[in-house]
Amino acid sequence: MRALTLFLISILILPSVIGDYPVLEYYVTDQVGLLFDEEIYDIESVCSEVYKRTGAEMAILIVNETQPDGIDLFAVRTFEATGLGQEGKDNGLLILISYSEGLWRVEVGYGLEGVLPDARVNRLAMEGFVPYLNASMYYEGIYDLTLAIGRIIIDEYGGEPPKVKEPWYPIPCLPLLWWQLLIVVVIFVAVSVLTKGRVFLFPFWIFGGRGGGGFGGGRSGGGGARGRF
Amino acid sequence: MSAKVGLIAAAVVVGAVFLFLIGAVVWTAGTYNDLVGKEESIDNQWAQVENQYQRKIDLIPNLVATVEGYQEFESGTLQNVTALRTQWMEAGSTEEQVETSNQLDAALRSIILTYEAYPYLGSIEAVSDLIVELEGTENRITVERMRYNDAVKDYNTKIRQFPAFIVANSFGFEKRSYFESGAAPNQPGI
Repeated sequence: MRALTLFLISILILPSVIGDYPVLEYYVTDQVGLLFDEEIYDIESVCSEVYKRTGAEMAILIVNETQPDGIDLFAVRTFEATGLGQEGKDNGLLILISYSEGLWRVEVGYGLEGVLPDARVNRLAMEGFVPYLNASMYYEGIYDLTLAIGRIIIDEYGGEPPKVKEPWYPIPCLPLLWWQLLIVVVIFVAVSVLTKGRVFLFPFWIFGGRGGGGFGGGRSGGGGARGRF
Repeated sequence: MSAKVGLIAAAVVVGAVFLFLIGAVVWTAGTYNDLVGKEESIDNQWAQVENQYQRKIDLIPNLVATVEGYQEFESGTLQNVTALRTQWMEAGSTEEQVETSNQLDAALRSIILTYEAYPYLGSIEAVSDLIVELEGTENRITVERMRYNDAVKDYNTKIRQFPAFIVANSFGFEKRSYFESGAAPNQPGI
């Protein structure tokens, strides 16, 4: 029984090892508080529409600062930690604003680089994003940029949303669905009872794999554009 | 009675040894495959780094042709960039390529500095697009290089850790070097 307790404790501890980068749960994450709830809802409805039509996952993150990494590295690491975009298609996109540093960056996943080359993203940002940020009109800027990029993705990317829902694992770091987990627990308990716990004297295999979140497993390669405001 | 007990004890010992051997073989195979996979991902990641270098090299003729028309850019720098590009393409070893690439970076940086010094250049779309692409390429190289180093770190840590280093030593898995900015790692077969 003690071994089972240890096992359960190790499951509980594992998720905290993942890292210091924010794992985004939904389309808009505002750590600074620049946006009202209705505004967040508006922006999210654009992202949701893009996802429904093409499967591409857009996310917006507002942070206070990106030190010590700098905005480029921070964007890549956050992108990776969240896994924006579907695995294999890498069709994610992250709009990152670092409020106190006055920096922005749009990080484009590998799969979207074709329709959104750096120069195009930069031009979109210069037209309908940076001018608003300069005037402290954050909602207008973010909404316009999200809409402009979303339109391009819908018109030109031509992907399809995933038909099957991406599996959602109840326990992070343990890639098992509920029913699979149940079977494992039943076997585990049965074996423990039958051997009176002696089974744990043998070293047992440790589970590997990454946990599932709201987003897929996409990656970016540093494509996109950045600037000051 | 005691003979029977002895027999059972012997069977248990034999069984335990047998199980242990099977476990050892399975574990060795698993570790070996894991190491092969990690090495493969290092090579794969190196290919990504090279791709991004190639991308930068491919960008240069276009860049030179576009900015040539503006007198703010020194023609000496542009000629230097073109010469370095040729040198890069003719370079035989990875070390040479990386060294040339570092010189190229310095020259390209001066082009970007010129671009930033004259704000009106930013309003010329053809020029600003190319500068953005150039900066993007730099960032891509940084990202892929970082991932390469991550892969190397992952592998190097694994082959030195107990108990995996037993497998690593007996099958001759060697430590791989990092890609510090400046010096190229030893890459076999490139």
